Amino acid sequence: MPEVTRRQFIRNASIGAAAAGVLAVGGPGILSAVEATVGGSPSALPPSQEPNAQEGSDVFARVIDAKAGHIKIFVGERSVDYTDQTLAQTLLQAAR
Amino acid sequence: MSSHREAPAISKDPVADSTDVYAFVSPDAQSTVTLIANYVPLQEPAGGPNFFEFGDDVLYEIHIDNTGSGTPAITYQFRFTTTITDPGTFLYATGPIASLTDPNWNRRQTYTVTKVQGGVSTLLTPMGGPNPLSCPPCNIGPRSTPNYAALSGDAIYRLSSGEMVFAGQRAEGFFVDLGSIFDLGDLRPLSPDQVIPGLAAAGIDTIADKNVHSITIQVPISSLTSNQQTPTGPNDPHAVIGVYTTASRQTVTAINPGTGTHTNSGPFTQVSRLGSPLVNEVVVPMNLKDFWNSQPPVNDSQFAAAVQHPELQNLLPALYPGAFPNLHAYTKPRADLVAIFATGIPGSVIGPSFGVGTFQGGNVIAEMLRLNMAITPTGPGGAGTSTLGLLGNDLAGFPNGRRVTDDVVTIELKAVAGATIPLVDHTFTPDAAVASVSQGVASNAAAYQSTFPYLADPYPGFSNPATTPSSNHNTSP
Repeated sequence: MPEVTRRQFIRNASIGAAAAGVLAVGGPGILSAVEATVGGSPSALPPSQEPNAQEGSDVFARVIDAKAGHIKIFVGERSVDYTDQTLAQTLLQAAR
Repeated sequence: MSSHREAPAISKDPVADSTDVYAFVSPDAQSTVTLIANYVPLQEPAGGPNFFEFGDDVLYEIHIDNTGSGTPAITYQFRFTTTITDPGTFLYATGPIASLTDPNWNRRQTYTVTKVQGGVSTLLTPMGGPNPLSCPPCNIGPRSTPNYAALSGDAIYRLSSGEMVFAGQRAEGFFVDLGSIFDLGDLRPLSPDQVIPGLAAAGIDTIADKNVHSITIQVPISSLTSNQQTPTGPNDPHAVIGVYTTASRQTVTAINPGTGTHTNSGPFTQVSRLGSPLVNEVVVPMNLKDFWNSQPPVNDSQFAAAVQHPELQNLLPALYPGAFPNLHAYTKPRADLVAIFATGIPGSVIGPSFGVGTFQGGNVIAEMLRLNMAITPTGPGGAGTSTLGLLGNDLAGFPNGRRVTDDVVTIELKAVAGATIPLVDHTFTPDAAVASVSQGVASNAAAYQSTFPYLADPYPGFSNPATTPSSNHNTSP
C-alpha cells in the first residue's frame, strides 16, 4: 500500500493523539493492549521510552506503510518507529 | 537575493528563512572570528503592531566544519522564548522602553545558546548578565524606543566560554538591485546592451531601508580549529573552516481547532540552510530548491551538475547578445565555481601573488562559506580593501569568508561570467564585458558599524520610509 495521503495522515494523527490520551490515563496503554489482543510487536520502544512516560504530551502517529505496519510516532522532540500491521490497518479503517 | 525567499517553501516561512551568512576575522579583535546568521527577510521597519521576531518554534543553528569532512564539528544552537507582560493590550510597547527589563516592553524575547561539539551539548552562560539572554526590542520610533543604541548595546553579552553574542533586529546589510535583476536579468549599468534594451543607470538598492533579524557570535579562533590552536599562518592545515547555517522545525505541526493555537511535535528537521550567498537562489533549479534546503552539505555531490554547468552562464550570452562570446563557447564543467562554492579554493590556483586559499583538503563536495582564519583582515575601508574581495585582489573578502560590506552579487556575477575560469583553466580568456559586469549598487554605509555586531542598529519604523512613496512608477525600460 502506498504512503498515506496528507488527509489520511491528519486523520491518523488525530487518532494517534486520542489513543495516547487513553494510554496516559489508562496504565499500560494502547500499545500493550493492542499487542495483547492482536499480537502486534512494539518493536522500537525500549522500556525507558514507554509512552506512559509522556503523560501530558501530545502524541502523533503517522502510518508510513500500512502494509508493512510501519508507524512513526512523534512525541516531544523525538520520533519512534513502531511496527504493527494490525494497528496500522485499524487506524486506516478508523480514518475512513 | 543572497538567500532571501530563495525557495518556494521557505518563502512562505520567513521566520525560518536563512537570508545571509557572514564569516570574517573580526577587524577589531583579530584573534576572533565573527559569524553572523540572518533570518526573517525584508522587514518593513514600521511593520507593527506585531513587530518582527525570531520563532519560538524554530531551532536556529550555526555550523562549523573544521576538518573538511563536510559535516559540522561545532554547532551553536539558538532557541528563543517570547513572553508577554500584559496580554490584555494589543500594544508592543505600553510606554517608552528604557531598558531590556522595562515593563513597558510588552512582548519580549529571550534566548539560550548551546554549543554542540563531540556529541556533547553545553548550555553557554553569560558573564554577569541575565540567563536566558535578552534580545533588544524592535526599533519602533522615538516614543517607544527613544534610546535604541543603549538597548542594543545592553543586548551584547560576553559568555563564560569566551564568545560574545547578540541576537535581535539589525539593519539589512546585504545590498542588491532586486527590481532590475529579476526583470529578465537586467543590470541597469548595462541596460543599453540588454536583449530588451533600456537606458543605462546606476543600480537601486531595493532593500536599503529594510531590517532583518540577526544572530551574531564572535568566537576565539583557537576554539574553532580542530587542534584547538591558533593557526600558525594561512597555509596551516587547520586555518580553514567551513560555515553554514540552518533553521529547523519540528516534524509535526497540528492546528488545534477552535483555539488559534498550534502544537508541535517530533524531532527538528531542517527547512532552511545557507552557506555561500546566491547558490540555492540562482544555481539550484526550481525543482530542487526545497530539497536543497532539507539536505546537509555533505550530500551536495548530488547538486554538482548545477554548479558545474550553471544556468546563468547560458543566460548571460542570451541576455547580452554578443557580449560574452568566449563564455558562450565554454562548455567544460566549471571547476572554478565548484572550488568557490563546494570545496574551497586551493591557494595554488589563486596565483603566486597570494599562494594561500580556502581549500580544506580532501575533495568533499559540500557547499559552505569557507574562511581562512589566518588571513589578516583588510577592512572595512582600510588599505587594500575591496568590496569585490578576491576579484579586487583582496583575499580577506568573499569568497574567503564574507564580510558585511562585500558586494557578493557583483562578485558572483563576474565569476559566473568567466572572471574566475582562468584560475583553473589557463586556456580561457574572459570576455571584455566581464570588466563591466556589475549590479551598480554601492554598499549602504548606514547599515554597518565598525565593531560588534557589525550590522548597524535597525531602521526605526517611525521614519522609514521618510516620506510617503510616490505612486506606481510604471515605466518602460
